Amino acid sequence: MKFKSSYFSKLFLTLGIVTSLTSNKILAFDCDGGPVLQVGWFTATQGKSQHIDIEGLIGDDFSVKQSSDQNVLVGLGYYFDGFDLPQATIQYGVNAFYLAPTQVSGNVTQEDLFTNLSYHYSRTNYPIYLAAKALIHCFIEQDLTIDLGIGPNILSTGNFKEKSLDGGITIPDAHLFSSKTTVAFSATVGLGWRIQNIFENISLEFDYRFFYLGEGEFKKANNQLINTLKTGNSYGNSLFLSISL
Amino acid sequence: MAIHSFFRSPSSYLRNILFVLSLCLVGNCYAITGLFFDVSSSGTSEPLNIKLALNGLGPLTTQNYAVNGLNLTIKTVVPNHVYPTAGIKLPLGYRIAGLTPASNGYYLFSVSNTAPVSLTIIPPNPPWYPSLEAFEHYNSGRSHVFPEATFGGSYSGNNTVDILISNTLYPSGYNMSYLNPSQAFIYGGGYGDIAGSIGAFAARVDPNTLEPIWYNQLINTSINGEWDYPGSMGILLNGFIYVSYGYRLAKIDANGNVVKTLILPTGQALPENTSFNGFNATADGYIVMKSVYREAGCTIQGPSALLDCADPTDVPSSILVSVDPNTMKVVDNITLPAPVGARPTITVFQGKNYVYLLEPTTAIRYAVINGQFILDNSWNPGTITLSGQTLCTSFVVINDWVVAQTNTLPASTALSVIAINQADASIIYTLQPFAGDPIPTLVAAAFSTSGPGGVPAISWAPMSVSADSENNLIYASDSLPGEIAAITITPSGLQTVWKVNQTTTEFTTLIGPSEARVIVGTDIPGPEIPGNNQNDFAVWRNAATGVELARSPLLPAMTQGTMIQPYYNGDMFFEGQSGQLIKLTPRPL
Repeated sequence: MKFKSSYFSKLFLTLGIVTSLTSNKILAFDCDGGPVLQVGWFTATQGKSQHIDIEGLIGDDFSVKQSSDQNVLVGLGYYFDGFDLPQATIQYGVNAFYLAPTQVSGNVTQEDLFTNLSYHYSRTNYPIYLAAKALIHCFIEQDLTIDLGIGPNILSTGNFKEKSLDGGITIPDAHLFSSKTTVAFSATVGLGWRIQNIFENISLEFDYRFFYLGEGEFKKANNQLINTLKTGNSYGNSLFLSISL
Repeated sequence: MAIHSFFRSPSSYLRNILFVLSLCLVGNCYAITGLFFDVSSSGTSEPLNIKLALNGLGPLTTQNYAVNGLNLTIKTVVPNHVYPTAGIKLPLGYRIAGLTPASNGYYLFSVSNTAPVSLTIIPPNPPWYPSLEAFEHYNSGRSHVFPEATFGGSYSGNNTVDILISNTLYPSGYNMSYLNPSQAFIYGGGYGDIAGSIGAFAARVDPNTLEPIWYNQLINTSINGEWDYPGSMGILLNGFIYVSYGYRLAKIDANGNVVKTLILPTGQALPENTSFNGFNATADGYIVMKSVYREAGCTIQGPSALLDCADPTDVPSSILVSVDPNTMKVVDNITLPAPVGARPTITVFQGKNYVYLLEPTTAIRYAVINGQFILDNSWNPGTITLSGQTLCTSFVVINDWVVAQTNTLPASTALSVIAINQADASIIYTLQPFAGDPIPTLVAAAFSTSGPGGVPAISWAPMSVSADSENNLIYASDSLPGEIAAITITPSGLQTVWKVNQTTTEFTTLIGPSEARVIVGTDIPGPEIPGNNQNDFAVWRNAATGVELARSPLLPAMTQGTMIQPYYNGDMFFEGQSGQLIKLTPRPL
């Protein structure tokens, strides 16, 4: 599956229009806002089976054995109150996340003949979203939240390492791929449940969030490599707690 | 996946989980490992751990292999694919004959599953720099076997030899040493009795044009009157060039800068009459030097002083000196029991460094421990020369033996090849390979009063033997009958394998792999008198049979008592005594 930026732009716009149309009246635009801190856990799916061409060789096949991994997530945002409707409030703002490193591992079949090595690497994501949040008033002081966001994901690949599978006869290639930081298109969508003013002006929110994190790649660390290793498109599912001031 | 699969029963979920698990397990079983290279080894037994890479430039797709021989045959197991830059990496100090390593240490070659490659591994040669020739006789045992050098011609013998002569003169060039094919150095100027030789020089030579890149005249003995006698040049593992000349040892960098010059002790003689004729070094890196002297008051220059001074034997006993090549300080300095003419020979035997020396009628050895000399009284071969024979030339080490030949000076008794066991000096084998062989009339006449006491000389061998340990062959020469012989050591003594007519006053050079060794030497044209000749040929022979493989055009006379210098790519250098440096390139016709 491949997401296009235009797809998410349209979805974002549609949510705003739909929310507006469901309201009886539109109130004045409100510029008040507040920060939000998010802490949670996520699981990411990534990795891509691919062939690496090498000068004079048939090349290496990198297969993916472990494509899913999990780690902690931390987010920080600032949301402004946008449109205040009788059934819902629309907020907009900026929301950035740190998705701690997750690992990919697999095997290397050299010359399409012998699987003499395994490999692993890690990927770290820093998505930054222009975000919109719809607070649908369900109960007094309790809201259903719908989140949307698009923006760049600053992702870094690293810690590429190979390991011998034949007791050390085959030597891991010492300088194959090195870390690289790239920027990819990213989008997020989520659902949550907010309890307003749980302590003075502090609100607590339980969130599920889906992330599309885009594709990263490594830098070639050996001039005998013809192409480089890519991470494939990455997707994340997360559960986290948000504290809004 | 069809959507209905999500609504199956719990048992179907369990089946699916088991199926996925079994796939994972089977997947691991299918991860078949294997070797990309098929390697066989032969030749000299030596266990080695090597690395082979399908791409040696990376290096990529690299595996460890264990081999037990210095001759390797390698092919790949991947069908229908040629690897143009496969590579091999060897343990430190080892190298591949005829190949230059890439900057990552891998020697590159082309190989496939149907086109194997044969490689010859050159073992380390401590303390000498790992190049084709760092020391005058390759190793401290003076074998004269240069395993990295190759023969550029055809072994069937249908060859010609191209020559390139330098425009610049390198007077009485003596020996060459290399850091690599492009960094070639020459030492010479030590034959003060040859016109143009005014004292020691060292130079870097462009191996393509033979012109000097730098030329450093280290001393001018035509001005200071000091004895100008051949020293030598060598490159140690630290990459510095060392040159001995007179009573000095110079340490020179690759750019020709003299880092330090050490003034050596001279024993009971004046410095101007002292020369350390070359040097050698122990495996743990100490330079060992031994002095020879010109008679006090004699002003004759060059090797002629050893013959033509009023009484050349009226000189003090030689001294033996060890030097730390890094600090350039004398470590030990002892006086030997007698004058010693031949250059010291060093080898490691039963874990100890020994220096072997030849006195007028016997031989001695010293253990060298941290540069200190300790006389080994347990090793005493007694008198080893016959009446009418003259001094031996330097020992050469062949396996458990040290071998020398007599008659450095013209002698009235046929030359003896003498092999003494290193473990037990009472085990001595001797052979007179040229005894009774005819001497050309003109040569006999020229040497009719050259023997001891003015009697006719029948033998003269100003060169030492050469020795091939892998093939158990010793190569002896005698200038007067004009012959070269190959001799083998058997359990019952020495035996001649082959003998050919070839008149030389120079050392022989052994090149090529052990299974295709070639012996190279000079050959004085028939009418000319050895020692007074104006010309030479360079001759290549099959070292196993003596059959001639190639012969150069007529060349000017070579500096007497030197050696045709091996070089890379099958080329060799010939040092004309008048200063011409000549590159010899044998090739098939």
